Amino acid sequence: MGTDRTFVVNLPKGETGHRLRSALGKLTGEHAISVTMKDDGAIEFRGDSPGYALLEIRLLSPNCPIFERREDGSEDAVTAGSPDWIEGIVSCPNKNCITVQPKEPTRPRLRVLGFSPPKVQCYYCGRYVPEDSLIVQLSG
Amino acid sequence: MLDIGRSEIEELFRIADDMKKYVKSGTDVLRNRVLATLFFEPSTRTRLSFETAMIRLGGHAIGFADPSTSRMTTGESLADTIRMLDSYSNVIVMRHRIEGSARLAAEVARSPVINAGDGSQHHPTQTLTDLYTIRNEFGSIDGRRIAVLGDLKQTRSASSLCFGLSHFRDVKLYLLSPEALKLRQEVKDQSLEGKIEYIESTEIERFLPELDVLYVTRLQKERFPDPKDYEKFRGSYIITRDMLRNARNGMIVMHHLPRIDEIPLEVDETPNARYFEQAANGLPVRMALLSMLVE
Repeated sequence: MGTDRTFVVNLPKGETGHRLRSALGKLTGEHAISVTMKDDGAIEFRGDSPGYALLEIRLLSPNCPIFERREDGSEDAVTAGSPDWIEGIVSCPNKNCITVQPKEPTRPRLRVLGFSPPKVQCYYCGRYVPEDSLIVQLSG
Repeated sequence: MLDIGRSEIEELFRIADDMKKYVKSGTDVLRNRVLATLFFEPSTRTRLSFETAMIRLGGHAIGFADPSTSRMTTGESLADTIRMLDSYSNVIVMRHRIEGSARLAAEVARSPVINAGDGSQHHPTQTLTDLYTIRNEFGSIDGRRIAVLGDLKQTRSASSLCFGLSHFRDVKLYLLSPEALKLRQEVKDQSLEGKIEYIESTEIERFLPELDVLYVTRLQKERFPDPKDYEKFRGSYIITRDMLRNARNGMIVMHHLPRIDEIPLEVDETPNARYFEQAANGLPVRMALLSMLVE
């Protein structure tokens, strides 16, 4: 087990903020984090492997500032640290992709190529995941 | 084609040159080695040239060309089928309509897996054959002006050729297709952007005087979700003998075959036709590939 790290995100208002809250709340299993809503509209999350949470924030709101809270209470802006790959969270929308065939239990694996706009490509079939599909899958 | 580099492609071409002397007489460099061919989609040239290549190299070929004769019809997974064939053979060649199936097979198998076409994006051994043909015709692929014509969205030979050409310098590519059948953005991003000068157009004749190679593709009837769409585009591009009079001297016409109606028989007799030589080149290229991959 690693050491828990704490991150603070000032959620954007409106739909994007709702999506982010929903997406972070859906992280479970190996990507589990604890999420706390703050009175000022910010969201605080803690976990020992926050990479996927950081990735989801960048994909859904690329300009949203993220801060890591240190033990002494100081906060540093986080500009890197999210993984280049998404595994097991987002499915490939290509019905002809090996990862969505019922008989072939293949873990979806997608490469993150960019954030603004989000560009995510299936490792197996090479297709891009359309932005609307990505948003629905992460936060829907 | 993105998994290999230019030096590997050129090395394969050098070996293919050597292999030409064995395409009829044979050799025994892969004696007692076994090639397994799994073709879940129809094939004539690719499957038969792979099997011939292995036999000419002194090895043996097993496999199926009709998946209904395999246990996959009873629900066996592709991964299990690959594991089994892997234990019987030294190299696996596979074609499947499902995209990414070859990558999965390569992860499951210990032996080399050669992608003989999966879905509508990749057909690397066709591309190696195409590049070998262009190189043999002009001495070099660098600097060539190449048009790819037809159903660029769904033809794996077209997208795979773009991936392959991305390894060469100063190539100018003309992507000629109906608007709805343009090359997919993923393919352009990975193979062309920042690497190759290219233009997209629905016109053909305007560019003929500029070209070294006119690569014609077949309308992929089997990949249209609605048969009406196929009928809508059928016959939308046909290369005639008259059109080729406007081509520059020495331009060659290539096609991955089979053709339907996009190249009439009258073109076969023109000095431009190279598609049968192109198909024949598949044998030394695949012999070279097998000899490189199989210990």
